[in-house]
This record gives sequence, C-alpha cells and structure tokens, in this order.
Amino acid sequence: MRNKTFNVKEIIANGLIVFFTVVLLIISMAFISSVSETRYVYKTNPNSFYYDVKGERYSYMYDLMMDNLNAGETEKKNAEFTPYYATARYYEETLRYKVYLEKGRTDKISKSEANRANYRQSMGEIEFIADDIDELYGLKY
Amino acid sequence: MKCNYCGANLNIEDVFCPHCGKKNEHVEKHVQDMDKYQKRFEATKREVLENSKRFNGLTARIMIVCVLIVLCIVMGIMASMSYEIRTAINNRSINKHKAEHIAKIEQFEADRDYNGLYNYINFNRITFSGVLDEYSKVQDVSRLYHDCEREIMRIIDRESYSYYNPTDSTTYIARNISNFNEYTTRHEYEKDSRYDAMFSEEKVAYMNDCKSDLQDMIQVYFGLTDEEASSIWTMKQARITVLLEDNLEKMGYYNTDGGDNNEE
Repeated sequence: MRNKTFNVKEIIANGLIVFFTVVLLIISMAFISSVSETRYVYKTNPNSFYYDVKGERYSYMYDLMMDNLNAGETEKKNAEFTPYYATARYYEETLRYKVYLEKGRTDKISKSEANRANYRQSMGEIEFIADDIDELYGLKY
Repeated sequence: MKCNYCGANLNIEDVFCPHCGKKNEHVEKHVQDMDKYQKRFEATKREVLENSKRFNGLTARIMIVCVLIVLCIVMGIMASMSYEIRTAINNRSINKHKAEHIAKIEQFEADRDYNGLYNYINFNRITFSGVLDEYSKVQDVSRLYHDCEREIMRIIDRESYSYYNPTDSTTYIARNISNFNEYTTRHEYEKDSRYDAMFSEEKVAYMNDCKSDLQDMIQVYFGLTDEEASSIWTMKQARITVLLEDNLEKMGYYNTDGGDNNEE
C-alpha cells in the first residue's frame, strides 16, 4: 500500500513535469515569434512568379514583391527573383512614366526612362514582358 | 559460556571444546541467530535505501515542477510584454543606425521618391518607433501616394483577375485623397514646438509635391479635366468616388454595376 502511494505521487509528478514543459514550450515559442516578428515570405519559388508573368498579373506580382521585401527578402538573397522583381518594378515605373509623359514633366522623364531601361535589362530572358507592359499602359500599340 | 560436558570455559566462536574435544552446542544456535540478524539487517538496509531513493526521486520531481512553474510564470510575463520588448529592441536598432536612416530618408525626400521613402521606413520598422518622429508626416503622405499607385496598378491589369472589382480601388483612392489634407494640415495639438520638425519648410514642400504628383497621377489615369483634378482635394469622399467611377466608365474600364470584370 505504501509503495502504491509512492507510485501515484510519482505519476502525478511526472504528469505535471510533462504538462508544465509543454506549457513552457508554447509560451516560449509565442514569445520568440512575437519578439522576432517573423514575417512570412509568400513566394519562395520563382516559378510561381513566372505564372503571374504568364497571367499578366503584374500588380499581384508587385504586391508579392513588396510583401517579400517587407519580410526581409532581398534581390541579393535570391538572385533568381531578380527578373520578376525587375518586372514588377518596371510595371511600377511605367505607371509614373506615363504620367510624366502626359503631364510634360521633362525634369522627371529622363530619370524614369533610365530606370525603365535598367529594369528592362534586369528582366533578362523575360524582357519581352516589358513591351506587353508598355502596351497595357497604352504606350505602344 | 561453559562446555556442557566438562564445564570448561568456551569462546563464542569455538566449534569444539578445546578441553574435552566435544562439540560446542551453543555455537550452532549462535551462527543461526547471527545469520537471522544479518538477513534482517540487510532487509532493513535495503528498505531504508529504497525508501530514501524513492523519496529523493519524488523530491527531485517536485523541484523540477516548481522550477517549471516559475519559468512558466516568468515567460508568461515576458510574453505579455513582448510588444514592449520588441519595440525596445527595434528602437535600439533604429537609434544605432539613426544617422544612416536619416541620410537615406532625406535622399528619398530630395528625390521625391515617395514609394522609396515609404518602403524604407516601413521595411526598417521605423513607423511608430518614436525615434524618427519628424518624418512621420512625410511618411503618411508617401503611404497615401503609394497606396493610390497600387490601386491604379490593379485597375491597369484588371482584366487578369476575374474577381476584381474596380469600385474597391476607386473607393480606396477616394478615401486616401480625402485623408490627404487631414494628414498635411497642422492641427491645434501640433502647434507645440516639438512638432516643428514635422512641418519644416522642406517637409511641407515635399508634402505639397507629393500632393501635386498624386493629383497628376489621378488626372492621367482617371481622365479628369484640370478643373476636376484640382477640385478633388475639396470634395467629400463619396463625391470623389462617384467622379472616379464615372470617368473610368467613360474610359470603358468597367461597368459601374460591379461584378465580374471579364463579363464585359
């Protein structure tokens, strides 16, 4: 009877150890994730960007690029993203370029043209997309 | 002890009497008693050791549970303060690179790179840090510009999305436009000298340029006349939404009934 009492106590103590260990782990993980403010990188696979290019979802690509950059991703970290980020940037720059053209902002046109040329160059194999973007903005027919 | 046969004195360990050579009858009982005592002693020793071991095991477990409870409480307190801890870590990092941040932000400011400035402040978690508060107003207007630009981007490639409704974009842009003056106006509570840096000459010029560039962008992409474009800043949000939607419709961008954009 005495031995049995000891066993019950040990079982309860073991159960408490497991319970508090799990609780401690959960609290620690919550604390670490909260402090480090880890942000989810939405697209780690460049192929998924390629589908957006194919589907001409440039604004969506731009949003994803911004989310990734916000999560600490950089072009330097992932060179395979460079053409897709350049496409998104080209799409953004062309939006402003059209405004400068239509409003006759000569002070800004040349810089915007240079930016567009740089992004076009960085697009590499998918450079042909730049023409589609221009067409989308009504800059080429 | 004496020999049962000759009465000579015997030691307890003597098996035979050294005097008459007869067997010592006491020794056998003595040996049996000693064995019995030895066994009892061993059993008691074992029981004591086992109980002590068991007690120590339980004590150790109780100690571990106590330590775990204390750690849980400490971690719980820290987790509840995680926002403050994160802000403190972030602010320390911002303070460490303050000069670098200021140089970058001022470069964006000089270049009138609204998106660059907004993204830089956003990506580096400078927003609401309280460290570079003097840039909070320029960041606000840059965000409004950036958000309007993103919505226009969505309008441009709208045909790629079957679920997209441009009304969402026009409503959002209209809200940003009507908020613009709110952000750039120096309110009564901001008359204090500590807000001077937020409304310095350069920053006011930046905000005005941002406003002007945003107006140009809205005018170009929504086909507004000069008069309409300049009047958007004094209009109510609902009126701006209607104006933008009407112009998009005139430009054949979408039907104002909303719904599936590809049905056109």
